[in-house]
Amino acid sequence: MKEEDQSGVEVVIDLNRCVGSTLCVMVAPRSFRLGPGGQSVALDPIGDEPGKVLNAAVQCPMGAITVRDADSGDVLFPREPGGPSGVSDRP
Amino acid sequence: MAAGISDDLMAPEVIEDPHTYYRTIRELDPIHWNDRWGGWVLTRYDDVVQVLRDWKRFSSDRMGFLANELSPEEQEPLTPIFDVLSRWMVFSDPPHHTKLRLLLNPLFTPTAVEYYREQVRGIVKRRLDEIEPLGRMEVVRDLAYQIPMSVILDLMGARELDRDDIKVWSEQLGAFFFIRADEPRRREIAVEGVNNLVALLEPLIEERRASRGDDLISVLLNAEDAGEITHDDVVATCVLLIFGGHETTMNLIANGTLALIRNPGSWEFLRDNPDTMRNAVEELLRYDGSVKTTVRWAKEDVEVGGQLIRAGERVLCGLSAANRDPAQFPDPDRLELTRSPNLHVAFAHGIHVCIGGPLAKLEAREAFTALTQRLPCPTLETEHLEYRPTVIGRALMRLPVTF
Repeated sequence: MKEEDQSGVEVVIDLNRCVGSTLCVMVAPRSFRLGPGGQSVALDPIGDEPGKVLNAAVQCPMGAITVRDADSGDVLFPREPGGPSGVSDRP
Repeated sequence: MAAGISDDLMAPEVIEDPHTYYRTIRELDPIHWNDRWGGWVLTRYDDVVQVLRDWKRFSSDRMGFLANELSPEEQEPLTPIFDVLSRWMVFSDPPHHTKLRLLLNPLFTPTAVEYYREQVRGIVKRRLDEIEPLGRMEVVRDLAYQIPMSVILDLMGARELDRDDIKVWSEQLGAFFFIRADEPRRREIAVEGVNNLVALLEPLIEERRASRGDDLISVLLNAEDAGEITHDDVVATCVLLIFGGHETTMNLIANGTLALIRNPGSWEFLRDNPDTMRNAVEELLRYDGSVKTTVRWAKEDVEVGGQLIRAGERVLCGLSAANRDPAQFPDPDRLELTRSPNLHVAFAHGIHVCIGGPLAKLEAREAFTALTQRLPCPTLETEHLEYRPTVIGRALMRLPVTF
């Protein structure tokens, strides 16, 4: 069972985009870590406030991080499908 | 020549067709000791990514290792280069790298570079307005060079600088570590290039010190005021961004245009399916990116692919080679514009992944969209195309086409 998430946001990392820049780990160290494969892994629970988590998503050079509101499920970032992220979501 | 592999990375056939050369090595000797270059050559995706991820044991401190290899007499005339390049984040390890990367990354995120879309679109439009009636162009000079140079100067708040000077001095600087073997005086030339670039930038930096904006130089100066970085860091970083900000993107646009021309049907496909452009740019990066290789130095003994690499040895990471590894990319030598997923290493990987990637991709998307929408697929004026003789860059000298 998941621990109570204090942050109010959920995170999904696209492993087909993550290049291991570690920028997410640097700006939101209580929410991301580098996994054994050298790619980002979201921590459970997310430990940073939503602003920092969103900033991590913004800083990602590959747009690999999607952030949702934990209650509504609304996507907070990216702001439109395949928007500023740089790579098509679908082939 | 061990196992039929030539170790001359500057041989004409290697410069002309690096993909075939590196494929041979990947098949015959994937962790290959190159005696002539003096280091290990990696050509498999998994091995390249392993090294690039392992920044603790594979250092990027190029100048530090070079200092170990040169005598004090050899080092002395190179002091200007050492002073500048040793501060470049691309040649630094954490914590110096981390400081500069965190400071500048906000200006280069996919979200931030959207700010430049309209400007890039305008530059491309104006260039094509002039080119279209002529029925021909030299892609490098007439289009590919103009776009990134305009953008990086604007980003730096340095629009008034003379770009022809910048181009010449950048090439001189590039001679130093792009291993241009055809120039015997490359070290002196590189010093001249660095000195000129620094002399060009210092007045601009001082001007900006008096009146700040939200441009890149102001961001650096604010950090200097806060004691986070030094004045030399500010100057060195400006040189890096001008240098790194134009040649590589120029080459992406030129190499990509050539790839589309040489793969019949792809130009028309992009014209008819503009929504596929994001994927297409990733594939053009994978297929023939601007940077063939990057180098790391082992700080301790590490095993890679079953081979022991010893402390102090240097490693040539084949980015283009990794991008053609069939273990990672099915049918790797085929240009497949809808290839997905496409986790290539054209911008490298790990903490040093190219900070300019999102900006380069935006520029490339705009350039290829306008090209394919406005012009029919061009024809090469000549099949004889020349690349710059360098180990690191994949740079067409000229790409003359008619349409």
